Formats: sequence, C-alpha cells, structure tokens
Amino acid sequence: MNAKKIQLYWHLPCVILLGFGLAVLLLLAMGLAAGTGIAQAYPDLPQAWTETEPIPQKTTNYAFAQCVDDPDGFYVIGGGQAQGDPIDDAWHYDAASDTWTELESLPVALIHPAAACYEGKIYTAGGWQLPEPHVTDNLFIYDITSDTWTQGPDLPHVLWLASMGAWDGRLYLVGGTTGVYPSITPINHVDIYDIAAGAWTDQGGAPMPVAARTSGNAQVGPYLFIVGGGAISGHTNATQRYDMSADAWESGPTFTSARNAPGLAATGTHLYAMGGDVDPSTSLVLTDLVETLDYSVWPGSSWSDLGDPLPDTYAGNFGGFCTEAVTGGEVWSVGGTIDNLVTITNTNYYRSAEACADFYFGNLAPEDSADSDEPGETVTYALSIDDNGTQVDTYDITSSASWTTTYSPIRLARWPRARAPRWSFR
Amino acid sequence: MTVPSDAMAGEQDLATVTATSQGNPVKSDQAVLTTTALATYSMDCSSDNPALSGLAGQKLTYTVTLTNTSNTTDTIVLDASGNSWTTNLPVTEATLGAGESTQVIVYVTIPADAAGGEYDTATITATSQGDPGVSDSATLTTTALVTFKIYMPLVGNDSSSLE
Repeated sequence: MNAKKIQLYWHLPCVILLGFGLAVLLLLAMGLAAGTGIAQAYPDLPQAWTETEPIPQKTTNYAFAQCVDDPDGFYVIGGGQAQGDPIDDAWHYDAASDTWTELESLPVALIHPAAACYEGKIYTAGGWQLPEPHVTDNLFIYDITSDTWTQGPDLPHVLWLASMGAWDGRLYLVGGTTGVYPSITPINHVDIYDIAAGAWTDQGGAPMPVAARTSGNAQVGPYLFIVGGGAISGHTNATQRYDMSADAWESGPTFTSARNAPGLAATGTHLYAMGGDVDPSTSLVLTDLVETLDYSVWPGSSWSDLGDPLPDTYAGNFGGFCTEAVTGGEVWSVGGTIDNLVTITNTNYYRSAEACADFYFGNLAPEDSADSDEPGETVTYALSIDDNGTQVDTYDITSSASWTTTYSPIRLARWPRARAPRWSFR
Repeated sequence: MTVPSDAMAGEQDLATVTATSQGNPVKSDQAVLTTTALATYSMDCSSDNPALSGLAGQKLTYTVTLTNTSNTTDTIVLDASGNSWTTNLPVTEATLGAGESTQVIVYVTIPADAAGGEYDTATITATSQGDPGVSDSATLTTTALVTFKIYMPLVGNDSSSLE
C-alpha cells in the first residue's frame, strides 16, 4: 500500500460522512422549501383560520340556519356526499363548547334545500333527492324544543339551490332553480310563506333583479344578502339584498370575483364571501379567496380581498355563520367540497371578525336630557329608541326617580336603525 | 316628571330611564333625565293693625309684616303710594330667604291741620326683585281724631259788693 492509497482510504470515511451530511442538508433544505411553499401558497399570513371540532358527517351544499335565541350556535341540515348522494343528517354546533349535537334526521335526504330559523323552528324548503332524482317542493319544519320534524304545505313549485330568510312571521324563499343538471337555469322568484296562516302567498314578493342560484346568502335583520351564484349565463357578479320588511330589492357593489357557491357570513358590519367556484363554465375551479364587504355603508363600499384565504379551496361551504363565543366575533366556514365534488369535507374553521349583528339592541336617546319647571308643574321629555338590532323587538321601560314620573306606552321598534316614534316621559 | 310643589329653587332630581329588550333581556340602554325646580317668586305683605287714628300732628307707627313665600331667597322692595299725608318707610328693602318673614315700620304723620275724621290711605307695596312682576300690598288707613274745644264761661266773683 503506497502513501497515496493510504491517504485515499483515510479520506474515504470523511467523504462518506461529508456525503451523508450533504444529503441531510439537502433534505433539510427540501423540507424548508416545502414549508416555504406553504407560506408562498398563502402569502397573507397570519392565516387566522383556526380549525375546530369537525362536523361528524362530511357534507356540502347543505341547508343552514342560525336562530336569534341561540346566537352562538348554528344548524347544518342535509347536504351532499361525494358523487352527489344526498344525506338526511341534521346537526347543531355550539361554538362556546365546540361541540356538535346530532339532531333528528330530515324526513328525506336532501341536497341543497334552503333553511331559515324563526321562533323556535327551522324551516327547510325544497332540495334535490334520490332515488328517483328530482327536485322537491317539500317544506319540512324542525321543532327545536321537541327535536322533531313535521311537514308543512308544499312550496308553490319545486325548488333547490335557493336562499331563504325569515322576518316578521314570514319566510322568504329566493331564487334557486327548478331544474336539474345540466338545466339549472336560475329563477328570480320570491316565494313567501305566512307562518301563522300556514300558507304560501299567492303573489310572492318582488322578483330578484338578477336571477341567481347557489348564491352565498346570509340574513342580517330584515335583509337577505344574495352574493354571486349561478346566473342564467355563467356566474353573476351581483351583490343583491332583499329587504323582507319592505319587499324591495337593492343592488350593491359589484362582486367582481363572480363566484358560484361561496360561503357567505355576515357580521354586524361586514359580509365575508369565502371560497366558491370561479370558473363560469361548466367545470369547477375552486378558490380559497375570502373577500369582505363593509355593508354598513351600503352600497358605497366595495368588495376587497381579506388577505387571509381559507386553508384550502372550497365551495359549497354555505354556512358562513357568525358567532361571538370564541373571540368576540368570528365567521365560520363549515364543510363543503375541496375539489370537483369528489372530496367532501367535514372541516370546521373560524376566523376572528367583527362582532355579529346584534339580534336585539335598543339605543335609548337622547342619552342625557335636562329641563326645568316651577314646583307643581310637569316636565315632559321626548325619548326615542333607535333599534339597531336585527329583530323586531319590544321594550320594557322602567325608571328610578324621587319625583313622580309617568310615561306613555312604549311602541314597537324595528331594525334597521328605525327610530321608534318619540314617546313622552313625564 | 312632576316637580314637587315644595321643591326649592335649584333642587334637582335624576330619573334613570331603562329600556330593556324583551327579545334579549340582557340588552338594555339607559337615559338620564335631569329635572330642576325653577325659582318661583311670591310674598305676603300685610299688617295686623292696618287702621290707626291719631290727633292732628301726631306721628303714627304701623307694623307691616313681609313674608317671602317663594322657594328661593328674594329681595323685596317696599314703596308707599296713594297717600297724601307724610308716610315714611325707614326700611325700603329686605332680603328674605324662602319662607322667612320680617317686620318693617311705616310712619304716617297726621297733618297738624287735619280736621277731625279726616283720613288718608297709604298703599305699601312690596315688589320682588327676582320677578318684578310679582308684588303684594297692604293698605294702611290713618284717621285724624276729632278735637273738641270746650269754651268755659269765665264767671267773676266780686266779693267787695257783699260788704
């Protein structure tokens, strides 16, 4: 063995170790690159979306509802599984305890019925069902207290992919379609159900300015916001809202991303359009985009990128709920599909946001009043209530004073920011 | 809110009005009403003995009682009017707290040449400085007494004629 060979043999372990070290470094670098790749996919950190207890049943295109007496809970009803199989599951989620509770199942498994909550009942209308594929005209009524379903009067026509709100004793079933794939041309109808009468009205409401189906939809007080969705041709970029108290439509800022089937959440001031299909052709191209609209300055504001996309691409995550139990104000993206209706999810994400719209709130004004009069005389004050809540409300009035005080009966106040007629306080 | 009839000027009462949502009783709002009693001005001006008589040239003294019946301190100005005979008010102004009283003196001098039975009336008016539209008055009537002159016949007695 000559000196060169000895030197080579002596270097061999070093070379091997060096190679191993390089390999480790390379792997580490790859790992870092992968991590960086995640960050690059979502450059708008901090990625405030937080995963919570997933819904026990994967679902997409479900019906959803929130009730005024349960502001930190929400309902997910029916929906679809992979390959479009409808399900009859019904769930309630409590944000405060991060728990799902299984409810009595829908009488029929349905994809994309519409739902709204009113005075202890959840009304679920229309939908698409099997085994003979067809669109239904069923109205199912869920009694929250008894956990039971009953069937109400049939809709005026078959319907699915619609939106629904409830206000002042009536249900408003908006848009949707009567057809089945591929003939799912949206309609612009507003069907109205009188809860006390137990009947659908003959006339219905004012038609939608832009017919739409599978729109993001959320109710704030008497307003039912309808954002995007499938139009007669492609997707609509319309932001519409229906004033259920006045049977009047208003057009808002252009929804430039013109997405179909996004989740839509409403806080006290903003709308959040989450995910959806951005391809107006028949194919699906889902997005993780989250845009917001400050509707408090309606219609003067515009949609803008929140800068914090969903953790994945989603569509059919319709239940864009708002609760306050976790951060004082958060919006939710629940379930949906992350691809072309092949993979259905049960994820349950929230993100901090503004406080939700107050269901009830009375702002008594003016806050301070002062007047004077001679002894024996009566001073009259005029107070009013600005009802900023989202529901029709009445108020109890009490007073504490040493001197004799009387007041006229309080009147009903209505949202939004409707000023109750002035009432005198003597 | 009714201001109590016995409320003092400037006295206040706060009424806290609370509107509570029936839909969600934890939601409520309050408004505060502050009511202040205004000052009211009134007084009583009277004399227990408003009619006196005296001889011509005599100076009579009346006592007039002033009472501030308002709900605040007031300065009351006194003035005499309607009189022909000399009427003096040594004190023409009195500051009284609410409910306070004082007595003031009024002098009336019967003219020396006043005929018996002749009389004069003086109106003593008390006027509020807090509210000059508020006043009260007392009427003092002074009568000159009749002066009788008895002329006695002077009867002389001439005692010398008896001698």
